[in-house]
Amino acid sequence: MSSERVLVAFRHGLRATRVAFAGDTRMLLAARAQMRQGIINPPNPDLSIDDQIKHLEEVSRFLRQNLVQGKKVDSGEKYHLNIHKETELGDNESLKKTKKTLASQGGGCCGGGEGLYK
Amino acid sequence: MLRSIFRTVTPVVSTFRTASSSLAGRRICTRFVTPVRLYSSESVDKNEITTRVIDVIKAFDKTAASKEVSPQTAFHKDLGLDSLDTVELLVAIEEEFDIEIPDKVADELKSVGETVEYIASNPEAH
Repeated sequence: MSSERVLVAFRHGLRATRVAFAGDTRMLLAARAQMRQGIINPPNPDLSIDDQIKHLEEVSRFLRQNLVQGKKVDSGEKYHLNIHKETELGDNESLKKTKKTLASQGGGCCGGGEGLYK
Repeated sequence: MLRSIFRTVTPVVSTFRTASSSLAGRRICTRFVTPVRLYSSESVDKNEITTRVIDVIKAFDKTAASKEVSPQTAFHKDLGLDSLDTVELLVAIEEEFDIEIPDKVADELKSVGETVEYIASNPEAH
């Protein structure tokens, strides 16, 4: 039963690599090989199967939404970023919101952020 | 609709025997052609799909290139692919035809023929 879910997660992962690494065959193949390897030899063997599947789904989501590849344009310092329609783009409003919640959750990183955002 | 046009036209020309018989010939002809036209309106022709699917399989680095691939070939039984390979292969086929096979369908595809059938039935495949 769970093997089917693994296969579905793997399929989603493979599709995500296509979104993230379109036009970069080397990374695409490497990412796919790594994903396959991760299923055969899980990097976190202590996690339950459910959590590992969840982890793979999270990786797929990350690849789709939070990873953008850049390609150097000509010989200059400019990069062409492959921002596609699934890339997560925050706006100023949502940024402020995140700050607020971080502070309210007990002071941000390492508890040192208490009273940081008033 | 064509038929009704012919019906209204036929009595008018019926006095000219030769003309009406050539019209009748045409009528048969259009009837004969119609199914062919429906067939070609399918996004991609089945033989072409089969060839392209087989090409993808041959290019897939885990299949033995020497193996004969026919529509009857099963991924696991004949090509020796494990379940992960099969998923990889189907994603490669998806990319070839620019479609996404729904998970439920993809889990059931076990042979070249079944895959070709599905792609032929998918209007978005090209």
